[in-house]
Amino acid sequence: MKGKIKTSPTPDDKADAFSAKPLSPEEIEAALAKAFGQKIQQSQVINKELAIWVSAENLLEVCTFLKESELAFNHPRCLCGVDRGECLEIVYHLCSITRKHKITVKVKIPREKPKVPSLYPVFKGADWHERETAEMLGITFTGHPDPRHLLLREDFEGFPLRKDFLLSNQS
Amino acid sequence: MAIKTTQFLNMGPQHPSTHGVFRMMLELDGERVVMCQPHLGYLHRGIEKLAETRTYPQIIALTDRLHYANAFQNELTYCLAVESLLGIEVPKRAQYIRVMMAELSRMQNHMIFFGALGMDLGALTPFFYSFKDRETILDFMEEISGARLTFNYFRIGGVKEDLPEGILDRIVAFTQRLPKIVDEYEALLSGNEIFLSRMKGISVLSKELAVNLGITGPILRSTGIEYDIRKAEPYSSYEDFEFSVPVGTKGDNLDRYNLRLQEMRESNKIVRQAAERMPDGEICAKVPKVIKIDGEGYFRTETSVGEQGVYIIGAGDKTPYRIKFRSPAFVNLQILQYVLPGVLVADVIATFSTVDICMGEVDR
Amino acid sequence: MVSIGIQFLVAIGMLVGLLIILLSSMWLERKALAHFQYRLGPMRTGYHGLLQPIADAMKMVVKEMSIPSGVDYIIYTAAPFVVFIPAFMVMAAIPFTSTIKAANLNMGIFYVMAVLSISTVGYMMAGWSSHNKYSLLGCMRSIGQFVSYELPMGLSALAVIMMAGTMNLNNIANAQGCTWNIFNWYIFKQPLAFIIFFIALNAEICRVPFDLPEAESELVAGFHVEYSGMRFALLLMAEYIGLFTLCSICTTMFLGGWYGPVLPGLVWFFIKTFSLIFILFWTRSTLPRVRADQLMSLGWKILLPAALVNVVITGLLIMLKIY
Repeated sequence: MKGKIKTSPTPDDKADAFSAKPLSPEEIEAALAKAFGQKIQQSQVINKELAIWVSAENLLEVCTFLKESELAFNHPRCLCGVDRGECLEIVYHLCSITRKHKITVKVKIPREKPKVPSLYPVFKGADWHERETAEMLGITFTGHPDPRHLLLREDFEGFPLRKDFLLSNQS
Repeated sequence: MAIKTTQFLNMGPQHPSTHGVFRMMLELDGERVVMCQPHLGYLHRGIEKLAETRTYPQIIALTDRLHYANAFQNELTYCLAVESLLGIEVPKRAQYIRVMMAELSRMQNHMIFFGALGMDLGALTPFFYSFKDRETILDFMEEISGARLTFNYFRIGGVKEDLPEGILDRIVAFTQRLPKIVDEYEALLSGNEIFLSRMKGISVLSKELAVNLGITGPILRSTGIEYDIRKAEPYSSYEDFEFSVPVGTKGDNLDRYNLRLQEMRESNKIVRQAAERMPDGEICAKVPKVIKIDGEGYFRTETSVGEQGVYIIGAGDKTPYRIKFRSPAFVNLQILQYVLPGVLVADVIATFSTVDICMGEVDR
Repeated sequence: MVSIGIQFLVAIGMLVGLLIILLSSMWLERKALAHFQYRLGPMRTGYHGLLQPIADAMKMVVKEMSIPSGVDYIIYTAAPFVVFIPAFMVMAAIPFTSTIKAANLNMGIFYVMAVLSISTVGYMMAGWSSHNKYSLLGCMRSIGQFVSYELPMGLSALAVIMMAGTMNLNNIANAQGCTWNIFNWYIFKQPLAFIIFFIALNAEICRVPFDLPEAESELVAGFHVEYSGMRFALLLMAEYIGLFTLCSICTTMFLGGWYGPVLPGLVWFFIKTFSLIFILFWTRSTLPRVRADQLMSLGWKILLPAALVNVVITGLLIMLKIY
């Protein structure tokens, strides 16, 4: 076989990649409560994974802690926005490549002036996800380096994923 | 007045080598790229918004159109997500059929990658060889599901129909031929001096940047991080199968290419094991006539491009409140902005080919 | 008066013959490429696609010659001719047999080298006047490529000239000429020169692996992206004519021209030339394309020193009376 490709598992790979074991949701919850206390507004275990709610002001601080601390949530999985009716909600799915555990961070923001700090300084992968969420739901990500439209054309009016934007087959 | 030494070149939506409609604005200094700015959205169809008006079984047909070159894997992710939220146990035979079809899908997607990469580099012949072998796989898929590109074969709880008579023997015969086919592909391109000098050491992606960007799949594994969801969080009976996960070392174009060829061999092993050990039994579990989901969940699988995720929020209706498709090609395409500055125009095409995207999934 | 008439007829005959050769090499290329790629190629137009080149020619003649706005019209129109005419002019120096030739030039190879360089200007005119960034990139690459590969080509031809003692292509073929002894051919006495000349020939006519100026998958047809219809047909014909004429020069210099047993000289000439052309089709279907900087380093760092060394060694051997 040409090319130097190793196939797993090899002894040294196993040792350094997954040496730290995954934490259970309760342990992660306890670690976050110890670090932030009241700043975590709410936490719940959904489908065996931890979901926490934070406010928009504390988002950057919490995410930086999640990434830099020994919890090691270094992989941004997904970022989406949901129109919850009375407010808009942004859902961040983070996971840890090295420790194999996951967490969901949710931020609720008001509908009238939806503003959230951009997660780009912490995770570069939030770049395009935030652009898409911004154009689909009308959310402003402050501090985003390039807030142009991504999927829609530049002069598109309206926010498609909001519930008041109706398709032609909806009443 | 300073003289501007750079020019903007638009590798527009219509270009022989951007796979699908994709636009790249390149700032070139002679032939060297200074800056790259991708522009997406030419194939945006609003699948997430459309899914909010369709019932859960109807959305399977929409998921086919995400990454239309390996549609089985998209269907698998979505069906598994709905089943995990409903708590449905899929019968073993259906799970094995699903795994077999998903891995066949992965193999033919890598064959497209191989052929298209050769063509982008100027070698015209590998394209025809790989597409000829891909026809055999597509014939199997057509016999089993009735279609060649968008199948609509998986159902919530299992699959639509049982396998036809005698197909498993033919699939096993094909899996015995495949190692020689991949050897032929390697003989065509892998040892070629010109090919190696165009792929080795080009567009190196570092581990830290890959993890920070959220890259998954063959691109992440080529940087040296061994992370495959089929091994880390097995789903749909993947734990029953013996296969290994190839890992690269340097993260350049050549590693990504070799890794995908090696993955074809491993998928071949899975298909053979599934076909030889196919259990008898039912092909679909009992699901309620009208599927209503209350709650939310994020489910992920490993497709041939990376981690595909489906995040469903249900509000107790027969249509979902919100569906988010986390498509791996969308995330993986972000590496172009970081990896292309400094390479030549010819390398832009080679790098873009090794990222191996499908615009249906990027734009949704 | 009569002799001028006969010469005129011979000239017309050669042009018509060249056109037929052009059409047949187009057919041969499509069939060879198809069979390498596990498919059949043209089958419907005529028996096994033999009329396909005629169909292609008819299509190109009737196609609209659309001109984009902003082109420099005079240079744009003149460029295909500047590319096409030198390719035809080279044919004047080629001896098909000892009797069939257009002109017995005493400076045969020198004339060929000089005329070939003119088409470089044509490529540049085509690329620049098209008012298109892709064609600009294509023409910049082509200038670098042509200039880099003319030197190895000339130096490897120099080795042959030193051995034959003349630049006249007719006499070079005669110097190798012997009906049965093929080891007299210069390909056996100068293998390095043959390899260098063949690679440089490949680069001079822009064929894969050196088809950077018109790299389809990168530059969307490169320097001729804005040409259509008859103008494009001229550029395409220039490529095929160049293919044939350069391969026939190579045959004359290294493979003994028209000499061979049993069959008439003309038949041997075409057999040898078309074998070389077939090898070029073979490499086209097999190899990927080199990158621009790799092409330059191949030309300047590998082929040119090799050609110089070859000339020095040839000189030494001639001096020692071995050759």
